[in-house]
Amino acid sequence: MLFNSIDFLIFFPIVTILYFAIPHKYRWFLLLVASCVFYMAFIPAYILFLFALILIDYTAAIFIEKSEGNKRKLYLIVSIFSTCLALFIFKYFNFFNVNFAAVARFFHWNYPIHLLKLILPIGLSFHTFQSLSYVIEVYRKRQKTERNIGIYALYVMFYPQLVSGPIERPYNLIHQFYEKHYFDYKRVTDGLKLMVWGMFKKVVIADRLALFVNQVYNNTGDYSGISLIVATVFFAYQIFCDFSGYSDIAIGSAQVMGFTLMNNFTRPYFAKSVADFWRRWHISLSTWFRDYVYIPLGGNRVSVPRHYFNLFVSFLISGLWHGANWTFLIWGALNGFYIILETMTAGIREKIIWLIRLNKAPLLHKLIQALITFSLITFSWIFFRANSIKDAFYVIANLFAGVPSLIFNLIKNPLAAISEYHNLFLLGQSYREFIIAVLAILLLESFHLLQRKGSVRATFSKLPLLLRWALYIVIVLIILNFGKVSKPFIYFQF
Amino acid sequence: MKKFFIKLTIFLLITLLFQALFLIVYMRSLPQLVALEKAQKEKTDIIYFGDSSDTNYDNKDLDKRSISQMLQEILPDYSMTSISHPAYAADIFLDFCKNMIKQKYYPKVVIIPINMRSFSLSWDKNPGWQFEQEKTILKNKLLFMFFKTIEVFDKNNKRFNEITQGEFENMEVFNGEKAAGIVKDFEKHEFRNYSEENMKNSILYFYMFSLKNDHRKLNSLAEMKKILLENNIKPVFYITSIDYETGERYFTGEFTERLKNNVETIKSALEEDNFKVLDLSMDLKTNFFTQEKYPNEHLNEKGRKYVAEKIGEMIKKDEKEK
Repeated sequence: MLFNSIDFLIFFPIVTILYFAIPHKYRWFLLLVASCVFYMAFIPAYILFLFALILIDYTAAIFIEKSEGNKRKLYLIVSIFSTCLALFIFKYFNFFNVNFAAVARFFHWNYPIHLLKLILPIGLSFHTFQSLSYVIEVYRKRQKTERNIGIYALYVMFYPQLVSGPIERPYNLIHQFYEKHYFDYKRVTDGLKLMVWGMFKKVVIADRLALFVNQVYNNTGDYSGISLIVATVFFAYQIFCDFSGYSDIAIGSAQVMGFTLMNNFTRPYFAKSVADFWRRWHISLSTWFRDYVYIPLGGNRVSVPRHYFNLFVSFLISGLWHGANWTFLIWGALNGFYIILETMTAGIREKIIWLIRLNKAPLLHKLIQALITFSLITFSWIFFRANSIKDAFYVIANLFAGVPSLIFNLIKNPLAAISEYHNLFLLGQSYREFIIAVLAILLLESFHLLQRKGSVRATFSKLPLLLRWALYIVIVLIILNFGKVSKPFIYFQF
Repeated sequence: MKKFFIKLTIFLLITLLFQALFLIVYMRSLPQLVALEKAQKEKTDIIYFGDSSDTNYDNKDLDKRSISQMLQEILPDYSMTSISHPAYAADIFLDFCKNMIKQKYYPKVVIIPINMRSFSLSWDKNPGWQFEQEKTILKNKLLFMFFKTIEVFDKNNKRFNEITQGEFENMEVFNGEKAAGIVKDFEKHEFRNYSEENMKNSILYFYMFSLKNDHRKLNSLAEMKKILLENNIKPVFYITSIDYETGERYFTGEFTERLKNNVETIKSALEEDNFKVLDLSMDLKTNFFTQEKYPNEHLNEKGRKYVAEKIGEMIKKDEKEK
């Protein structure tokens, strides 16, 4: 079930009303049934596969808790292996198979390709990682096993975050299913406001920007220069609004029922370095890789080359997590390279800043840092969005074609240049769509600027009632009338 | 909880009220609907439905008036309203007619152009040319209150949008009975680039289909004729002129033959002993059209005048016979 669907607009109030209407002891069961219904809206039969995964990890955790030494490790390996095997079969088998066949062709070996025709279960990468975090935490003795299989199943399947996260940790979520949640006016309205804001980001901004981005990235050969730059910058905002919009709806809908899910985004495009960006972007996944890949590899408490290796491997796996395609692998590798370069050059950069006295103008310094970070991250999105490596390299090779002459003409005669070049910006859409898209991005960043000084909701709550309601109504009306036709969330494919 | 539900109800009611106000203003921004409302109020004698072939002109034209404006001059005793939009075709005209009857507005004559290209995939199935919102307003204004909402939140994108872009792009294009590729291949052609290959592909895509007698647009025309006649309104169907000479250049022998066959299919679906379709499909040569490089239905001043006169003659003749 998509959050931006009529089905969810009906499903959510019914589940929430029932949740508060029934006694506490039955609530977990209601949520479990609701989560099954939510999941089965995609491909019903896959629920059996999900149940099987739940059963394996539930049992493995019990065995891990009971055992010590090598046996304990063996149960952990069995659990991780079975979860990863499911992920491999559905998501990576064809990718590795095709690439192996290419290698075989190179060496003139006879290797016929047998591709699996399987549809990827929705949210597989998310709920498998959530399951893995449970068994690993049990193994580390930081989490007690959950004996109620229904509660454990709910931990994996809790519908707000089932298909696209945030990827929760057992110590943050499981205990909440035992707590009694009362109807709290402020919490409910705050949750609803967050859901509306998430919906705004998704249907007004992300789905609108998708029109521009898809036009260019599905026909890359037809575009060059400024059109590619506009499409790539728009994609940076599309993916942010799409995914953070989803996270807001997920966190908001859980909040309405009294649950607190972890924050997934903190104004990422205000980041002052790539490392800072990754502390603000898809936080539940970044911290997952930190806790379960980077630190077990040794983190930064190792030799410098090994530290760089750990960073690189973590980002490479993160790229692969996003999709079985070389474009995602390169995207992950590029981000790993950024971080390593950033770490290596920290001292030199510090000296340059001191030499040019940029440290005397902290605001300008921050602005330059944010702009450089945004440019680097946006550049890496080219690989994330491109349909193939060939397309990605075409975009990179043609990114600045004709841009100097455009800038020269813009300075010389802005009006004539705009009239001559406007089609390069519009990317097949109307002026109206372009203006709404740009205004929506500006509105989004204004909100982010406000957020720097504290909660926007808290600021709004201080406004007079009439003004506050007017604002909420305007946002709802914008969603209802200026939203674009629904598209699945980008992260659903992962 | 009580306080919450009271506030939520008030909030939803106010939002609904503003939504209704917004849509009333929005509906006023659709000139075709405003024109229909005006015609209903003023009880106009003739409704002229049109597409771009009505209004398009050549920059060199001294008289840039549309066909309907020229026709008004020919028929000074009739009051006339033109309801035109580029890519309007039979199905939306049918909804306009149904709405007129529902509103108890019975003009004397309704003029309906039949643009041969409107039966091609490029037009008939193009998601951008389905005019779902106009159709929804014409059918049910109250439903239109939720039009955008349903459009945005309908995961199947099917309730109003009959055809998705993806479905459209993968539809098979035919040259007669022979498959010639999918829409995606043809939509990519850059029409400003008049290369021989592009021109040939454009002509194939727009005109070389074999019209079947169960085509949905043909059904709409037949239904329109039925409901107009039942309500004593005279329908005047005319088949718009096509630059068949250029078509022949690219598909020698085939183009005219296909065009004639398709026109015959239309006539056999609509004509009766006492009811004829005005067939102008092959009346005009290339120099009557605005584009001389590839076949189209956009007429220059001479061409528009010719069509207006022909329609005027037909209406006058019918009037005399009465």
